[in-house]
Amino acid sequence: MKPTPLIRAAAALALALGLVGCGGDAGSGDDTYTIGLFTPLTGFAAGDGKSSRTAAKLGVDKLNADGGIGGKKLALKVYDDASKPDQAATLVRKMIQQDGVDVVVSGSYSAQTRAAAPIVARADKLMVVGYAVDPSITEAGESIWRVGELASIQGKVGGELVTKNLAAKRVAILQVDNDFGASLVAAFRPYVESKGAQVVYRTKYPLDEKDYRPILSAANKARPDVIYAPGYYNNGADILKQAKELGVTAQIVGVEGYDSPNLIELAGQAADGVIITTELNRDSESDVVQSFITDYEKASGGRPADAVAAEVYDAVIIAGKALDDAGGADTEKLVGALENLDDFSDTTTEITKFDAERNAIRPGLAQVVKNGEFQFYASFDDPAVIEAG
Amino acid sequence: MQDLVSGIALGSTYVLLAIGLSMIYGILRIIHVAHAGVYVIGAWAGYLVWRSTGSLLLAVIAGAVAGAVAGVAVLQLVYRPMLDKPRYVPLIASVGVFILVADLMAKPWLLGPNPHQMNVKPPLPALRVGDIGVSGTALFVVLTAALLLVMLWLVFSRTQVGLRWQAIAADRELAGASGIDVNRAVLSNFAFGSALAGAAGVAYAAYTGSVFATMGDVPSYKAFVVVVLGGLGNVWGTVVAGFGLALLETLLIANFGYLLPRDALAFIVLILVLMVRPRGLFGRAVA
Amino acid sequence: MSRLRVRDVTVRFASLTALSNVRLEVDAGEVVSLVGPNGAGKTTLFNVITGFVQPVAGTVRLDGQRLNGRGSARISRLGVARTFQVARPFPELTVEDNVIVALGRASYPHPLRTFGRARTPARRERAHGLLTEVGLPEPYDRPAGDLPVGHLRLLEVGRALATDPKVLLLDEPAAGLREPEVAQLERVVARLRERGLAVVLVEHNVPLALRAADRVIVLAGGEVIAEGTPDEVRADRTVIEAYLGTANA
Repeated sequence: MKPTPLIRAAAALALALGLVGCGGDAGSGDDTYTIGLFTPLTGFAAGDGKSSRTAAKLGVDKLNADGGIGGKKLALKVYDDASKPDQAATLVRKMIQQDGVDVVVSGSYSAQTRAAAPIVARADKLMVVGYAVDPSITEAGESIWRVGELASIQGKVGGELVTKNLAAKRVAILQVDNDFGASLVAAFRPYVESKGAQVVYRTKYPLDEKDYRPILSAANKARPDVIYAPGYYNNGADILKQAKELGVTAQIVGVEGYDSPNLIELAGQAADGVIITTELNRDSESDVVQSFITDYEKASGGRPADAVAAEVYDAVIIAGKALDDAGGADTEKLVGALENLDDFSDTTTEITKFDAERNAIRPGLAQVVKNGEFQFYASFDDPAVIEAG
Repeated sequence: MQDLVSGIALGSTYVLLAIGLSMIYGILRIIHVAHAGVYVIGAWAGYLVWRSTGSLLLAVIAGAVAGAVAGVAVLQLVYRPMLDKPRYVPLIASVGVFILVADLMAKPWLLGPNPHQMNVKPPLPALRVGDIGVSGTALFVVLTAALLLVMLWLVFSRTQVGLRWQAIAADRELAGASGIDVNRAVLSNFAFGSALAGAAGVAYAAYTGSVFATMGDVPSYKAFVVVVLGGLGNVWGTVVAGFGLALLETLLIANFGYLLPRDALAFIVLILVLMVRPRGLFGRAVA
Repeated sequence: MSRLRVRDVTVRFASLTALSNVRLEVDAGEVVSLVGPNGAGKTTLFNVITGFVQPVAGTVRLDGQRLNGRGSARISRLGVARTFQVARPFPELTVEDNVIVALGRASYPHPLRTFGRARTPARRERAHGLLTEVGLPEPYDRPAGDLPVGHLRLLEVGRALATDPKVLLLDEPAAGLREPEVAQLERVVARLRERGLAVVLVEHNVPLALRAADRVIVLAGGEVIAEGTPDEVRADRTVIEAYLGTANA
């Protein structure tokens, strides 16, 4: 029977509305695994969202170029969480219930990832978390794994850097007033005090502060050797510029949140000399790291790689390895594959293992900004520093 | 002492923004929320000019011009048709215009969602006396504000248009009956006040080193606190209130940290002052 | 042709008819007094002439040029000035500035130079001349808000004259004035008439209104009930009943 015009119109409408499935779309078709990435493409953290998206694509392309996953292709679907936790929660539900995503990857902040984790865990799906640092995220369930460095570890790495490498006796703390700042300082402060340094000034500043002069000058009056200032790159850029303006001579130490080309763009010359704790060692001798840095810059149109990009890339690589080793998307098998995983040679953040709480362990790393570029400053191997507990 | 210097620099930007608002309230009795939108537009124009010329002075001039154009556009296109309506009508329109400006500015073809750096090369040498440092940029901001305030004072107290503004602020109807072209005087008042807002936007962007689409959000209400504190429509009371608030914020944060969010402070001061002096610090008694 | 001609003006506020088919003509060099009880519509008529209130019917013309429908600033610049029933100075401006700000086109020959100096010697001299003419004693550099009521009325007249009017509308200029000030005001009105101004005087002081006027118009309930020379009006029985009778009782 010839299709009547009415049927043809209905078919066209169905196509237009996306009711008819099509090849490139998500859905665990027989020949494709799908990774669902949520990340902030809009909102205050949009810069990190773009890094995440570029890095995730790079990871998927790399896995496909190396022959795919057990003969199948890997596909990526990107979701914008708009830097909002409730949006992230809605998105992961949609990924799992409607879009048939096989593995969820978080390319977002702690608050968004914390909202998503219990939903993913209850739906019994695997989630690999990129750079969210909040410790409670992986506590949501056996199927939540983290590539990024726990705040409780990074805080200790910062403490070791400040007390040992910088030999500071007097430390001022300016922390961003949220989970990120609080969990870093919760580890940093007892660590430096146990090493004999004194916290001479401490205050919290709001996430959207623009004028740090009052607290910088107050901190400066306490004559610190080091100012430890956890926050994000926009906080860091203003702190660096304004400290320079006020003639603050104390060494400023930042954290992973500073690790972005935006820091250097926003702060300009004032960024020179800042030391941060982070995960991406741009001066690594590893070919994996160096080719990632080159490929990323190509893929992003000249924007250099940062820690966020490296961690999200690794999250995709880890997800791919799990699918490959498990031979399918069954969550129990995926978790088993990750528990037995021992080869991390193709990760860019140089992971050495996952600990019992499903958090990645790697040597601690400090970078310094010199001539407008992040460079190697120090690394830390002491298990007392770089492992939880 | 360092905090005093920082407070004065920050206060300069508060005053520049609030004083235009005070002028406009004085002459039209409109709660001109869109003034903060004019501030963002000024900052954006200043940023573009700074990026292509590297000159902060040109950027401030561009910000002032863009501010004046934007302010006059709001007056002519939005307020003019509703001047005879109850005062809440232009207020609602004003809020709408402000939100529209902020949303438009967040589009990628304008400012976009991310902050842009505006690390100006200080146009003046930094000063350092003992422990107290003033960056060249802060010095420039303070001097620009001082220059504009002196200019404003001269215009207000010496010129024909200044006298007309004062007359219209006192009694708009009478001013008209006395042959004053009220529409034209309101136009120049708007242009002048909006130019100050545009310059304030560039000054604040240069002082903090960044420009972003939502930079008008906090000023949209903080400028009102300053204007009300100064005694609604009292231009010189606004100057004192602007510097006072910035100094208070700076000194409290420096000495006690963030006991409260910075921006809550403005409202606490406002409530306390209004309890004692219901017409603001420098408001006149009801005639 | 009359200098100011009001033709069949009707004004309604909601359901209330404030003025009904009112006619008024004033020639150059003529003083017309407008009398009538409170609520008769005298001030409303001034408001119509100066563009504060739009009539539902009728026209107002100055030298044949239509005024109604124009803004009050335009009407002022065309040559109609007024004072107010309740004296309305710009209280924070000085006495002198109150006059300078109202000076007419002739004193501001360059309309685009709005950022020019306000208090030029020529303008100050003109302002002082006007203030002396209306009999307001110095000093002129204090805020107008500090003046006593009687002096405020004189200032109002001075400010109205500053606009170089052809027609001057005085709304109860003698209210609150003391005897010597009333006499001064009368002299001023007489001088203005000699200079060829058309003056409309609304006045509750009926003897003054009759003394100063060439013609008198009596308004009651928004209508003209009588019109004529002061003597004719004084003799008019309707007027006595409606208004003068009670006022002179």
